[in-house]
Amino acid sequence: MATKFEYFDTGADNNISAYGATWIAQTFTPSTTHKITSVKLYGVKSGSPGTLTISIRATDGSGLPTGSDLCAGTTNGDVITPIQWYEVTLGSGATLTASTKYAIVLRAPSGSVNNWMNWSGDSTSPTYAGGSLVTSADSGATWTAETGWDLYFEDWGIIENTVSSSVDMGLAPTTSRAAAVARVASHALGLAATASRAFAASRSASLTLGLNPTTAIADDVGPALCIASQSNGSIKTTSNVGTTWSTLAHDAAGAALDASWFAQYDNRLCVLNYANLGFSYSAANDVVATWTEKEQFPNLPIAFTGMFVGKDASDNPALYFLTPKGMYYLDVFTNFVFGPTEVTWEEDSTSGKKGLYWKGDTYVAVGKGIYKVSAGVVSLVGPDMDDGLPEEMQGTVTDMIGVGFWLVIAVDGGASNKSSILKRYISGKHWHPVYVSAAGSRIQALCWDSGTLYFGEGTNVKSLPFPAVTDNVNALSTQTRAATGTLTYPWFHSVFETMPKVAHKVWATTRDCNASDKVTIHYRKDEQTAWTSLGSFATSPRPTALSFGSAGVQFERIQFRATYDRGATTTNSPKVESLVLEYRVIPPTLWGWDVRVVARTQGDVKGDDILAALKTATETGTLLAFYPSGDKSKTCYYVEVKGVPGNEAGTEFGTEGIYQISLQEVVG
Amino acid sequence: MAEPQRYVWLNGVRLPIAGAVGWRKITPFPDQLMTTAPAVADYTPTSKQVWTKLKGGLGIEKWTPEDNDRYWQAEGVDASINLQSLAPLVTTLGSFGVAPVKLIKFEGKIWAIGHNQISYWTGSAWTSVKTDFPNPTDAATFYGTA
Repeated sequence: MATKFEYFDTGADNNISAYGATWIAQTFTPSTTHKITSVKLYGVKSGSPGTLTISIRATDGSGLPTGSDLCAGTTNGDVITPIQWYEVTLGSGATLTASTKYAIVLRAPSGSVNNWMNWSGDSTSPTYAGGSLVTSADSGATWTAETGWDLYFEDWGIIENTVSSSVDMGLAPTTSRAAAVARVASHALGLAATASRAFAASRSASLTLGLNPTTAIADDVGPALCIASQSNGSIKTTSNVGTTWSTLAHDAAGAALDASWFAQYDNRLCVLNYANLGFSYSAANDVVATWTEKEQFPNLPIAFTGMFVGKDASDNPALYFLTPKGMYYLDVFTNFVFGPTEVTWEEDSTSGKKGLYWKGDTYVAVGKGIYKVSAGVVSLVGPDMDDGLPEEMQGTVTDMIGVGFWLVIAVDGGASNKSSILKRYISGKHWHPVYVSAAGSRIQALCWDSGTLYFGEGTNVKSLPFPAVTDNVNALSTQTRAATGTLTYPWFHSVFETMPKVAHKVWATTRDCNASDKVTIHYRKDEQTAWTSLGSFATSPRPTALSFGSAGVQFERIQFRATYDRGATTTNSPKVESLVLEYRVIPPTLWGWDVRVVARTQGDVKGDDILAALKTATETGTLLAFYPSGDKSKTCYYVEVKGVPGNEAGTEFGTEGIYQISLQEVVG
Repeated sequence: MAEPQRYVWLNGVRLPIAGAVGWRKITPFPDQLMTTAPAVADYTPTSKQVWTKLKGGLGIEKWTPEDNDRYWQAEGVDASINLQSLAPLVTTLGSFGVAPVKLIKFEGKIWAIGHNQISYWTGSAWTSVKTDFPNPTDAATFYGTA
C-alpha cells in the first residue's frame, strides 16, 4: 500500500502554467529512500491543454533537472477541473535515494496560451526547504530556478521489501538498500535482465540469498478498481482518482480478454464473457501476471447474465453463473465442468439479473421474483408474492444487496412503470418500500456505505439515509424525511362479506402531528376509483375523529389512503400509531312469527290433518312457503319451523289442542 | 272493525289459528354469556376495525383477518417500524449524465460506472475520470498485485 513521503501543501497564493515548450517543475529532496509510484499535484486546467506528462528527473549540481525521465505518467489534462489534488501514476516508478534532490516535471506539449495546466503554489513566503520551482522555456533543455516559489506536491510510494536471512546476502556492510524478494523460489536474486524486480544496489549477479520462499511476496499490493464490459474486455486502476487505467484480464501478449462478469474465487479474480463461452482467471492474488484463458469453457449456447461466489450444500465455496433460464455451477481449477443447479426456470430475458450469497443463503433474481436457496431447498421470497405489487410498480428485480439484516432490492419498472427500492428483514416474510420513483425513471444499481444508500435513477445517482446504528429511524433525531408520502390500506370488507356496512368515523392515535406535520385520510368505496378526503389528523396523541356524516356512508368494501405531509423541517414527520374505522354491519332484515295453530276437529277440519301438517312442516328440510296474512295474494315468506310445536295443554305432540309454533326466515 | 284473522297458510296447508299472528325481527347475533373481559369485537352497537403495526409488509390488496398487519402499497411512507412515518429524504448527487450500471465504493469514494462514463463523487460533485469505456457490465474491487 502506497504512503506519502515528501510533500508541500501550505500557503498557496498563486499558480504557474505549463504549455507547449514551457515546462515547469518542483524540485524536492526525499528524506527516506523509497520507490516513488505516483505524485499528486494541486491545480486546474484552462481551456484544453491536452495530454499532460508528469515525470521524475534527477538534478545536477545546481539543483536543476537533468537527464531523461526516471519514470513518467500521463493524464488527460482536458478533464483536470475543478481545482484540487490530482494523482498521476508514474508507470513502474523509480527508486529515489534519501537526501538526493529530484524534480517533478510537468509538461503539456499540446497546450498553448489559455490552453494550459495551472500548478498552484506559494509565491510569497514558501517554506519547503528541499527544493523550489524551476522553469524551462525550451522543453526542458535548460532550466531556471525560481527560489521564491514552491509548488504544491505529494510524493507517494513504497518501501521496497526487506528479507532477513542468516545467509550472506553479498551486501557490502555500508549498503543501506533492501533486497527485493524473488518471486519464485528457484530464482537467484541476481535476477536476469528480464525480471521485473532488480536490485537497486550493485551486486554480483551470481549471488543467491539461499532463500526458498514458498509464497510470492508482492511489492505492489493494493486495491484496484476493476471494470468489465460486454464488448471491450476489462480495465483496472490503482489510482484513487482514476488518472491511469490499464487492461485487466489479458493474455501473454497483453491483449485484452473478453470479460463481462467478475467473481473473486480461490484468491483469483475470474471473468466470464457475456457470450456463450469465455472464462479466464488471474494468478492467485495477482492480476498483473498473465491470465489463464479457458476459451472453450463453459460451452453453453446462451448469454450469461452474471457470476457470483456462493456456497454449495456442503458449505464449500462455489462459483455460480446466471443465465436467462437458470443458475449453473462452475467447478473450476480442478475439473472445469459445469452443470445446472436446482434453480432453473422458463427462459426469460428479464431473469437471472443478479445472484447474491448473503447470510448463509443464496438469492437469485428471477424476473419479478426472487428464489431463495437454503440448504438446497428453493423457496419464493420476492415481492411478487401474495397480491404482488400494484400495476404501476411492477418490474424486474435488477439488483440486490445486503445491508445489515435487510435484503435490499431494486425493482426496475422499465419505461412506463415506477421503479422502486424495497427491503425485507432477514426473518421477515414480506417487503417494504424504501423509495419509489416516478414512472419511467428507472432504478438499476444499488450501493450502501456508512449509513447511506446510493442508487442510480435514470441518469442520476441519488442517496438516502439508511442508518447502520438502528432500524428504528424514529429514534434518530437526525433522520431526514421525504416531504410527503402515501400509504394505501387493503380493501376492507370485514368478516361480514356481502353484507352492507355503514362507516361512521375514523379515529387515530398519532404522534408529532401539528398544523404542518399531519396525516390526511382519504377513502373510496365499492366501485369508486377516485378518492374522497375525510380530513386530517393535525394533533396528537388522539385527534378528533373524522366523520362520514351524521347518517354514515354505506359500503360493501372500503379502502383508505393516508397521506403524510411535513412542513419545512426535514427531520420532522407525523406518525400514526393506530387507525380505527368505526362502522356498523347491516345484516338483511329477517322476520319471525309466533302463531297459535288450532289443531282440533271443527266442522270439516280434522284435528289429525292439522297435526299431520304441523309434523310435516317441522320435518321438512327445505324452506316452507308462509303467508302470515292468511291471504295468498299477499307477501309470501320462506321460513323454517323453529323447535317442536308445543301443545298449550301440556300434552305431548299428537294430541288435539292449540299448538304454539315459531317460524322464521333464515335468509334475506 | 276488521274481522280477526282466522288462518295462515303454511307449506300449502291452510291452518286455523287462534289470536293474532305475532311478528318479530330476528337478530343474526345471538346473546352471549361472557366469561372473559370484553374485547373490541364486543363493543356494541358499532364495530371497530383497528390497524396498528403494519410491519408485515406490502402486497395485500384485500383485507383478511390474518393479514391485519399488512398494507397494499406505500410511497414515501415507512411502515417497517411500529409507527408509520415518512420515508427517508432522497438527495440527487450532482449530475452524472448517463444511466449508472454499477455503483461501488473504492478508496473511500463512491464511484459510478455507466456507458462511456466513469466518475467518482467528491462529496459535492462528480469527477469524470474516463469517458471512453463503452457498455460496462460489472465492477469489483481487487486487493492484491495490481
